[in-house]
Amino acid sequence: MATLDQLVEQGVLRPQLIELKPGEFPDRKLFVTPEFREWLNTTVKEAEPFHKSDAKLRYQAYDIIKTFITGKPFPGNRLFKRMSPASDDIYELRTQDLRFFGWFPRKDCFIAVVGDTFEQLKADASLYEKHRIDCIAFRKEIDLDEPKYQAGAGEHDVVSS
Amino acid sequence: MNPSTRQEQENMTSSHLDDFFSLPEKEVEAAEFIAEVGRIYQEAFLRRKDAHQLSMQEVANKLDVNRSSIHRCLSGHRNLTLETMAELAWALDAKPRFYLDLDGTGSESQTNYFVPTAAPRAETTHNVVRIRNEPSQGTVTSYNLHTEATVRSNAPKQQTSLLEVIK
Repeated sequence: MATLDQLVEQGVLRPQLIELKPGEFPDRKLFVTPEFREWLNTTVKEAEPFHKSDAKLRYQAYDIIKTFITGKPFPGNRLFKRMSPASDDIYELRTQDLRFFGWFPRKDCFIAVVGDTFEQLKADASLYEKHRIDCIAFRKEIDLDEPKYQAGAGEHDVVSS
Repeated sequence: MNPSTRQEQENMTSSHLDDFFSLPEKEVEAAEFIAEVGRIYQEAFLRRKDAHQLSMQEVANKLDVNRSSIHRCLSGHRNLTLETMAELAWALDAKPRFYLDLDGTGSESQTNYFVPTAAPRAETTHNVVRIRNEPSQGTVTSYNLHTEATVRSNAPKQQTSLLEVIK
Protein backbone atom coordinates (compact mmCIF):
# COMPACT_ATOMS: atom_id res chain seq x y z
CA MET A 1 0.00 0.00 0.00
CA ALA A 2 1.31 3.44 -0.83
CA THR A 3 0.47 7.06 -0.38
CA LEU A 4 0.31 9.47 -3.28
CA ASP A 5 3.75 10.79 -2.42
CA GLN A 6 5.14 7.27 -2.42
CA LEU A 7 3.58 6.62 -5.80
CA VAL A 8 5.30 9.76 -7.01
CA GLU A 9 8.61 8.50 -5.64
CA GLN A 10 8.04 5.21 -7.46
CA GLY A 11 7.36 7.03 -10.73
CA VAL A 12 3.82 5.69 -11.00
CA LEU A 13 2.47 9.23 -10.82
CA ARG A 14 3.92 12.68 -11.21
CA PRO A 15 2.72 15.90 -9.60
CA GLN A 16 1.44 18.36 -12.19
CA LEU A 17 2.66 21.80 -11.26
CA ILE A 18 2.44 25.26 -12.74
CA GLU A 19 4.42 28.36 -12.03
CA LEU A 20 2.50 30.60 -9.68
CA LYS A 21 2.63 34.36 -9.46
CA PRO A 22 2.86 36.35 -6.23
CA GLY A 23 -0.45 36.02 -4.44
CA GLU A 24 -1.25 32.67 -6.00
CA PHE A 25 -1.06 29.56 -3.86
CA PRO A 26 -1.53 25.85 -4.55
CA ASP A 27 -4.83 24.95 -2.88
CA ARG A 28 -5.55 21.77 -4.83
CA LYS A 29 -3.34 18.98 -6.09
CA LEU A 30 -3.09 17.45 -9.50
CA PHE A 31 -1.27 14.21 -10.22
CA VAL A 32 -0.80 12.71 -13.64
CA THR A 33 0.44 9.48 -15.17
CA PRO A 34 3.60 9.57 -17.28
CA GLU A 35 1.46 8.90 -20.36
CA PHE A 36 -0.78 11.84 -19.57
CA ARG A 37 2.28 14.03 -19.07
CA GLU A 38 3.59 12.99 -22.47
CA TRP A 39 0.27 13.83 -24.13
CA LEU A 40 0.18 17.19 -22.37
CA ASN A 41 3.68 18.10 -23.54
CA THR A 42 3.23 16.97 -27.12
CA THR A 43 -0.34 16.86 -28.45
CA VAL A 44 -1.68 19.63 -26.26
CA LYS A 45 1.23 21.97 -26.84
CA GLU A 46 1.06 21.56 -30.58
CA ALA A 47 -2.55 21.05 -31.59
CA GLU A 48 -4.92 23.75 -32.78
CA PRO A 49 -8.47 24.18 -31.46
CA PHE A 50 -11.36 22.51 -33.24
CA HIS A 51 -13.03 25.90 -33.68
CA LYS A 52 -10.48 28.35 -35.00
CA SER A 53 -11.85 31.15 -32.85
CA ASP A 54 -11.09 29.33 -29.64
CA ALA A 55 -7.91 29.71 -27.64
CA LYS A 56 -5.01 27.42 -28.46
CA LEU A 57 -5.13 24.07 -26.70
CA ARG A 58 -2.05 24.87 -24.65
CA TYR A 59 -3.73 28.08 -23.45
CA GLN A 60 -6.81 26.09 -22.41
CA ALA A 61 -4.60 23.56 -20.62
CA TYR A 62 -2.68 26.30 -18.88
CA ASP A 63 -5.86 27.92 -17.64
CA ILE A 64 -7.61 24.82 -16.39
CA ILE A 65 -4.49 23.55 -14.64
CA LYS A 66 -3.90 26.89 -12.96
CA THR A 67 -7.58 27.35 -12.08
CA PHE A 68 -7.66 23.94 -10.46
CA ILE A 69 -4.36 24.14 -8.63
CA THR A 70 -4.87 27.67 -7.28
CA GLY A 71 -8.26 26.83 -5.81
CA LYS A 72 -10.24 29.21 -8.01
CA PRO A 73 -13.95 28.52 -8.47
CA PHE A 74 -14.22 25.28 -10.35
CA PRO A 75 -17.87 24.85 -11.26
CA GLY A 76 -19.20 21.44 -12.08
CA ASN A 77 -20.66 20.75 -15.53
CA ARG A 78 -18.61 23.57 -16.96
CA LEU A 79 -15.09 22.61 -15.83
CA PHE A 80 -15.60 19.06 -14.63
CA LYS A 81 -18.24 16.38 -14.62
CA ARG A 82 -18.74 12.83 -13.49
CA MET A 83 -18.88 10.27 -16.26
CA SER A 84 -21.66 7.73 -16.60
CA PRO A 85 -22.23 5.46 -14.88
CA ALA A 86 -21.83 7.66 -11.82
CA SER A 87 -21.20 4.66 -9.60
CA ASP A 88 -17.64 4.38 -10.99
CA ASP A 89 -16.79 7.92 -9.83
CA ILE A 90 -14.65 8.62 -12.86
CA TYR A 91 -14.50 12.28 -13.76
CA GLU A 92 -13.36 14.46 -16.61
CA LEU A 93 -11.87 17.90 -16.25
CA ARG A 94 -12.86 19.77 -19.37
CA THR A 95 -12.38 22.78 -21.57
CA GLN A 96 -13.78 23.27 -25.08
CA ASP A 97 -11.08 21.14 -26.61
CA LEU A 98 -9.56 19.15 -23.78
CA ARG A 99 -10.68 16.29 -21.58
CA PHE A 100 -8.61 15.06 -18.63
CA PHE A 101 -9.98 11.69 -17.49
CA GLY A 102 -9.33 10.47 -13.96
CA TRP A 103 -10.70 10.53 -10.46
CA PHE A 104 -10.54 12.27 -7.09
CA PRO A 105 -8.80 10.13 -4.45
CA ARG A 106 -9.79 12.81 -1.98
CA LYS A 107 -11.25 16.29 -2.02
CA ASP A 108 -9.34 18.81 -4.12
CA CYS A 109 -6.98 16.20 -5.43
CA PHE A 110 -7.32 14.83 -8.96
CA ILE A 111 -5.40 12.06 -10.66
CA ALA A 112 -5.42 12.48 -14.44
CA VAL A 113 -4.86 9.11 -16.06
CA VAL A 114 -5.47 9.87 -19.71
CA GLY A 115 -6.28 12.91 -21.78
CA ASP A 116 -7.83 13.48 -25.16
CA THR A 117 -9.06 16.23 -27.41
CA PHE A 118 -12.59 17.14 -28.36
CA GLU A 119 -11.66 16.61 -32.01
CA GLN A 120 -10.54 13.03 -31.40
CA LEU A 121 -13.55 12.22 -29.25
CA LYS A 122 -15.92 13.69 -31.81
CA ALA A 123 -14.35 11.51 -34.49
CA ASP A 124 -14.60 8.35 -32.40
CA ALA A 125 -17.24 8.41 -29.67
CA SER A 126 -16.15 5.01 -28.38
CA LEU A 127 -13.02 6.66 -26.99
CA TYR A 128 -15.04 8.10 -24.11
CA GLU A 129 -15.88 4.63 -22.86
CA LYS A 130 -12.37 3.40 -23.49
CA HIS A 131 -10.85 6.20 -21.43
CA ARG A 132 -13.33 5.62 -18.62
CA ILE A 133 -12.46 1.92 -18.54
CA ASP A 134 -8.74 2.71 -18.65
CA CYS A 135 -9.14 4.95 -15.62
CA ILE A 136 -10.98 2.24 -13.69
CA ALA A 137 -8.31 -0.32 -14.60
CA PHE A 138 -5.49 2.02 -13.58
CA ARG A 139 -7.16 2.84 -10.29
CA LYS A 140 -7.64 -0.83 -9.55
CA GLU A 141 -4.05 -1.60 -10.40
CA ILE A 142 -2.16 1.08 -8.49
CA ASP A 143 -1.11 0.32 -4.97
CA LEU A 144 -2.76 3.37 -3.47
CA ASP A 145 -3.92 3.31 0.14
CA GLU A 146 -7.60 2.60 0.60
CA PRO A 147 -10.01 4.13 0.10
CA LYS A 148 -8.71 4.89 -3.35
CA TYR A 149 -11.58 7.21 -4.13
CA GLN A 150 -14.62 8.81 -2.56
CA ALA A 151 -17.38 6.45 -3.59
CA GLY A 152 -20.69 8.16 -4.24
CA ALA A 153 -19.29 11.60 -3.52
CA GLY A 154 -21.07 14.56 -5.07
CA GLU A 155 -19.54 17.48 -6.89
CA HIS A 156 -19.12 19.54 -3.77
CA ASP A 157 -17.45 16.62 -2.03
CA VAL A 158 -14.66 16.33 -4.57
CA VAL A 159 -13.93 19.97 -5.38
CA SER A 160 -14.24 22.84 -2.96
CA SER A 161 -15.90 25.92 -4.33
CA MET B 1 3.11 29.63 4.54
CA ASN B 2 1.82 28.25 1.28
CA PRO B 3 4.49 27.58 -1.30
CA SER B 4 4.09 29.94 -4.18
CA THR B 5 7.38 29.96 -5.99
CA ARG B 6 8.58 27.22 -8.25
CA GLN B 7 11.35 26.41 -5.78
CA GLU B 8 8.90 26.06 -2.93
CA GLN B 9 6.60 23.83 -4.96
CA GLU B 10 9.56 21.69 -5.92
CA ASN B 11 10.53 21.34 -2.32
CA MET B 12 7.04 20.26 -1.33
CA THR B 13 7.14 17.04 -3.28
CA SER B 14 10.01 15.38 -5.02
CA SER B 15 9.22 17.26 -8.18
CA HIS B 16 11.29 18.32 -11.10
CA LEU B 17 11.28 21.04 -13.68
CA ASP B 18 9.48 18.61 -16.01
CA ASP B 19 6.54 18.62 -13.62
CA PHE B 20 5.76 22.20 -14.53
CA PHE B 21 3.42 22.87 -17.41
CA SER B 22 5.27 25.80 -18.89
CA LEU B 23 4.58 28.23 -21.68
CA PRO B 24 6.70 31.11 -22.96
CA GLU B 25 6.01 34.23 -20.92
CA LYS B 26 4.09 36.01 -23.66
CA GLU B 27 1.83 32.96 -24.06
CA VAL B 28 1.20 32.88 -20.31
CA GLU B 29 -0.03 36.47 -20.51
CA ALA B 30 -2.20 35.64 -23.51
CA ALA B 31 -3.65 32.50 -21.90
CA GLU B 32 -4.45 34.32 -18.68
CA PHE B 33 -5.97 37.34 -20.37
CA ILE B 34 -8.18 35.26 -22.66
CA ALA B 35 -9.38 33.23 -19.67
CA GLU B 36 -9.93 36.33 -17.54
CA VAL B 37 -12.04 38.02 -20.20
CA GLY B 38 -13.96 34.78 -20.66
CA ARG B 39 -14.74 34.62 -16.95
CA ILE B 40 -15.87 38.22 -16.87
CA TYR B 41 -18.37 37.61 -19.65
CA GLN B 42 -19.55 34.39 -18.02
CA GLU B 43 -20.15 36.15 -14.73
CA ALA B 44 -21.90 39.05 -16.45
CA PHE B 45 -24.22 36.67 -18.26
CA LEU B 46 -24.94 34.75 -15.05
CA ARG B 47 -25.83 37.98 -13.29
CA ARG B 48 -28.25 38.87 -16.02
CA LYS B 49 -29.67 35.36 -16.08
CA ASP B 50 -30.05 35.17 -12.29
CA ALA B 51 -31.94 38.46 -12.34
CA HIS B 52 -34.24 36.92 -14.99
CA GLN B 53 -33.23 39.61 -17.33
CA LEU B 54 -31.73 37.59 -20.11
CA SER B 55 -31.36 34.05 -21.41
CA MET B 56 -28.71 32.72 -23.75
CA GLN B 57 -31.31 32.44 -26.51
CA GLU B 58 -32.28 36.06 -26.01
CA VAL B 59 -28.65 37.12 -26.28
CA ALA B 60 -28.41 35.10 -29.50
CA ASN B 61 -31.57 36.71 -30.85
CA LYS B 62 -30.25 40.19 -30.13
CA LEU B 63 -27.08 39.44 -32.05
CA ASP B 64 -28.84 37.47 -34.76
CA VAL B 65 -26.67 34.40 -34.30
CA ASN B 66 -27.18 30.81 -33.20
CA ARG B 67 -27.47 30.00 -29.54
CA SER B 68 -24.49 27.68 -29.96
CA SER B 69 -22.35 30.64 -31.02
CA ILE B 70 -23.20 32.47 -27.81
CA HIS B 71 -22.57 29.31 -25.80
CA ARG B 72 -19.09 29.11 -27.33
CA CYS B 73 -18.43 32.79 -26.74
CA LEU B 74 -19.34 32.35 -23.09
CA SER B 75 -17.42 29.11 -22.68
CA GLY B 76 -14.44 30.84 -21.17
CA HIS B 77 -11.76 29.97 -23.68
CA ARG B 78 -12.90 31.81 -26.72
CA ASN B 79 -10.36 34.10 -28.34
CA LEU B 80 -12.88 36.90 -28.64
CA THR B 81 -12.25 39.70 -31.07
CA LEU B 82 -12.69 43.25 -29.83
CA GLU B 83 -15.72 43.57 -32.07
CA THR B 84 -17.31 40.47 -30.60
CA MET B 85 -16.56 41.68 -27.09
CA ALA B 86 -18.27 44.98 -27.79
CA GLU B 87 -21.30 43.35 -29.40
CA LEU B 88 -21.60 40.79 -26.64
CA ALA B 89 -21.41 43.50 -24.00
CA TRP B 90 -24.13 45.42 -25.85
CA ALA B 91 -26.31 42.30 -25.90
CA LEU B 92 -25.77 41.95 -22.15
CA ASP B 93 -26.72 45.59 -21.69
CA ALA B 94 -23.27 46.34 -20.41
CA LYS B 95 -20.33 48.45 -21.44
CA PRO B 96 -16.86 47.03 -21.83
CA ARG B 97 -13.93 48.88 -20.36
CA PHE B 98 -10.22 48.36 -20.81
CA TYR B 99 -6.95 49.64 -19.45
CA LEU B 100 -3.31 48.72 -19.61
CA ASP B 101 -1.50 48.39 -16.33
CA LEU B 102 1.86 49.91 -17.14
CA ASP B 103 3.49 49.17 -13.82
CA GLY B 104 2.16 45.69 -13.17
CA THR B 105 0.75 46.72 -9.82
CA GLY B 106 -2.91 46.36 -10.66
CA SER B 107 -3.33 49.87 -9.32
CA GLU B 108 -5.65 52.12 -11.23
CA SER B 109 -3.46 55.10 -10.49
CA GLN B 110 -0.78 53.59 -12.64
CA THR B 111 -2.86 53.44 -15.80
CA ASN B 112 -1.55 55.56 -18.58
CA TYR B 113 -4.62 57.74 -18.76
CA PHE B 114 -5.60 58.07 -15.13
CA VAL B 115 -6.82 61.53 -14.13
CA PRO B 116 -7.26 61.54 -10.33
CA THR B 117 -9.83 64.25 -9.97
CA ALA B 118 -12.58 62.26 -8.28
CA ALA B 119 -12.66 59.68 -5.53
CA PRO B 120 -13.02 56.23 -7.06
CA ARG B 121 -16.04 54.21 -6.13
CA ALA B 122 -14.30 50.97 -5.49
CA GLU B 123 -15.80 47.58 -4.77
CA THR B 124 -13.24 44.94 -4.53
CA THR B 125 -14.97 42.31 -6.56
CA HIS B 126 -12.75 40.14 -8.60
CA ASN B 127 -13.33 39.94 -12.32
CA VAL B 128 -16.92 41.09 -12.57
CA VAL B 129 -18.09 43.24 -15.41
CA ARG B 130 -19.87 46.22 -13.97
CA ILE B 131 -23.36 46.60 -15.26
CA ARG B 132 -24.75 49.97 -14.39
CA ASN B 133 -27.54 52.15 -15.62
CA GLU B 134 -26.80 55.46 -14.04
CA PRO B 135 -26.62 58.76 -15.85
CA SER B 136 -23.19 59.62 -17.06
CA GLN B 137 -21.48 62.36 -15.11
CA GLY B 138 -18.36 63.58 -16.70
CA THR B 139 -16.20 61.41 -18.84
CA VAL B 140 -14.96 58.02 -17.84
CA THR B 141 -11.23 58.10 -18.13
CA SER B 142 -10.25 54.86 -16.54
CA TYR B 143 -11.76 51.71 -15.18
CA ASN B 144 -10.26 48.91 -13.24
CA LEU B 145 -11.66 45.49 -13.99
CA HIS B 146 -10.39 44.19 -10.67
CA THR B 147 -11.75 46.82 -8.32
CA GLU B 148 -14.74 48.03 -10.34
CA ALA B 149 -13.49 51.51 -9.67
CA THR B 150 -14.53 54.11 -12.15
CA VAL B 151 -13.02 57.53 -12.13
CA ARG B 152 -14.88 60.28 -13.83
CA SER B 153 -13.31 63.50 -14.82
CA ASN B 154 -14.46 66.66 -16.47
CA ALA B 155 -11.06 67.00 -18.02
CA PRO B 156 -10.74 66.12 -21.67
CA LYS B 157 -10.27 62.44 -22.34
CA GLN B 158 -6.74 61.34 -22.88
CA GLN B 159 -6.36 58.57 -25.35
CA THR B 160 -3.44 56.57 -26.53
CA SER B 161 -3.12 54.64 -29.68
CA LEU B 162 -3.17 51.41 -27.69
CA LEU B 163 -6.37 51.94 -25.79
CA GLU B 164 -10.01 52.27 -26.54
CA VAL B 165 -11.74 54.72 -24.24
CA ILE B 166 -15.44 54.06 -24.38
CA LYS B 167 -17.62 57.03 -23.68
